[in-house]
Amino acid sequence: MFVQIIEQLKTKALIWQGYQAEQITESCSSSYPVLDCKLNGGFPKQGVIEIRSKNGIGELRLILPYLQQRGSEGLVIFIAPPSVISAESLSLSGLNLEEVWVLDASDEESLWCAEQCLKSGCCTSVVLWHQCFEIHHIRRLTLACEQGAASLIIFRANDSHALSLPVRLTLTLVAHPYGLQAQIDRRRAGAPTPPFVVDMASVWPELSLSSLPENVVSINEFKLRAV
Amino acid sequence: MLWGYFYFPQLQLDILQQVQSCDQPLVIVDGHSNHVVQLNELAIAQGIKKQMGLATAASLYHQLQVIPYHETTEQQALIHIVESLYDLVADIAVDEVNGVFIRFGNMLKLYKGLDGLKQSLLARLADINLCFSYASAYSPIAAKVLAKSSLNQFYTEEEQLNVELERLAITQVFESTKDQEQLARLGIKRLAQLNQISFGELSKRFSHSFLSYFLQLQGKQPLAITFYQPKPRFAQEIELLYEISTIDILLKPLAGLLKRLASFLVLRGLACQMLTLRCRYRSSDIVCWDIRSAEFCDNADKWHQLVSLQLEKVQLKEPVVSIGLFCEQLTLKVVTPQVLFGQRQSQLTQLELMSLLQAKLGIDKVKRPTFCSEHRPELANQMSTTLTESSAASAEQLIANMRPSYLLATPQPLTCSIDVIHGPERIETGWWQHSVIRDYFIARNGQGQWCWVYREPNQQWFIHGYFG
Repeated sequence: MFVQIIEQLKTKALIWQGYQAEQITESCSSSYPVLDCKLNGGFPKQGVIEIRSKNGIGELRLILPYLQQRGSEGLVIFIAPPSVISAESLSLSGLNLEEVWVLDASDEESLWCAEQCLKSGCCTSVVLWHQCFEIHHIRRLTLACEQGAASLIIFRANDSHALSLPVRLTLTLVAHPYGLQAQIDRRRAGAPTPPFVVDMASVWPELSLSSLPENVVSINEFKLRAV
Repeated sequence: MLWGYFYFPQLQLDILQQVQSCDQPLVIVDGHSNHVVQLNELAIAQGIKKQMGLATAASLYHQLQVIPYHETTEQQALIHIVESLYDLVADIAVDEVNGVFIRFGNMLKLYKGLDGLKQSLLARLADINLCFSYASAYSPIAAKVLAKSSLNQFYTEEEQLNVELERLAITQVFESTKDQEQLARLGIKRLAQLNQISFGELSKRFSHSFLSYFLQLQGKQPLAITFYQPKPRFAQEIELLYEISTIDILLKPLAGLLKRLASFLVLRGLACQMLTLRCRYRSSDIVCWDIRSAEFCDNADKWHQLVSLQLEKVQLKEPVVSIGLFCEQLTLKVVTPQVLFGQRQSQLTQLELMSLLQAKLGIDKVKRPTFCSEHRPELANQMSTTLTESSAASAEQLIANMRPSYLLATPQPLTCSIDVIHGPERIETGWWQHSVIRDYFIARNGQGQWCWVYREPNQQWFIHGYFG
């Protein structure tokens, strides 16, 4: 009975065995020392990375250095972003805009596009905003990643009821005054970690509250003063 | 000068059968005379013969499939044949409806004799897969007459050719019924008999057109032939054997057309970026689709993939009766070098990937972010749909200010409470068209999202983006 269950879990890639830990593929630094330490070197260069996060708390800033490094080898493709991706901000983060594509795709099309881009071999990273996945979707996307030596970053809403997916790495991000509070929920060949804080103050001083400037006031107070 | 002639007795039928296989007796009937002009093996097995009336043929097999004879289809097919043979022989011309003249004389040196030329011509024609017969002679008309009699030999000796010609019945040589009647009245059954009569005698009895034909047959009077000049563009159309109302089935005959396009392109070392697919509905309405590829492509499989992606969303309003493929703009094919020993063997180039995505999503859905020197954020950040166009401004020109990564398409009124962290940054510009006076602030809302908000002079607050 137990053996059957374990076999089933194994085939769904929901558990892994100790000897598989040696098969870790190359990783690429995220340029945040805390995160690199927790991830044993950085984000994987290949495979599916799931990031559960709210939009606009710094989740893109977390992966931009990684995308910038990967972008030097091939295309970086954003699929179905929640709003317009600003070219200025990408360029300021050091991404070569010649190597960045943005696709407007509907929900059904976006998975197809992601698979095509990943397995094309000319694209190193795909960033996909998509909510509903099934396990076989992730399987196909993982295969496509292997075929094209590419990585896929999936942004999903932070929904605790969502299905656990057989991805290489799942990160949950929550807003934090110093930057982000991250938690590794699952990763291949590694254990989950408790929440830890990724300090972004040194890279993005304007977007962290670690050193509150003197002139900060709440909006209500500001409005009152303006009147 | 030695001439060759290829005769295609059932061109329309062959073309129909190439595109779609047919498992029923089928005849092609001339609309004017109502006679069967071409028929397939199954129809022959039913006892139907050429020149039989339609009524007789139909009575022999009641489920007979009948297709009207279409001269332009045959002419198009002939042009296609000539195009594919053009790289083997320079002097080639289309005869009225179902034959091809080739002037061998100039090509013999290149091929070191007739054998080499014959082999390459027959190999090429075997690829096209048509029923044909051929012959050679020292005048184009004689070659035509011999080819129609299915000689299927290329002779170079004049005596041999004369023997072959004289072996023919006179009705095979002279096709017009008026001439045939006249010859029969004179009791002439063989060409040899005609040759014995002096020209002066002949001119007393026969019309001018007969005489000039006879002289052309003997090679004494030249035949006016306009040789084929290759066309710079591709245009082909096929009539479908039956009406097609779903795209899936339509893709099959289309694949045949795409193969012809590919062979057309490969032979010329050309490639194209856009095809026009034209479908004619049953009600003779015409619908056209432009199929684009981001790169210059001459591969039938790649085009097929793009066409099927683009057409998968299309609904046919009515059954389609004919399809055509047109390609106007052709350029020389440029081969892009590939990494030979790279770690990653890339399956597709960037342009191929772009073609795929554009075919699936639509041309305007695949974009590249660019920016230009402009203070208004909604104008500074643009999306370009082409690969070649580079950013209007370089990265050095970028003002190193904080800019949000998610920009809302239209600013939304601010409804939640926020804490302003940085600012203001005043943007005041565009007095000449859409005047903008905004004080931008970086703020954080209750959920920890970093917002880019602005205040207008009338104290209205808007949210314009998020720092992702």
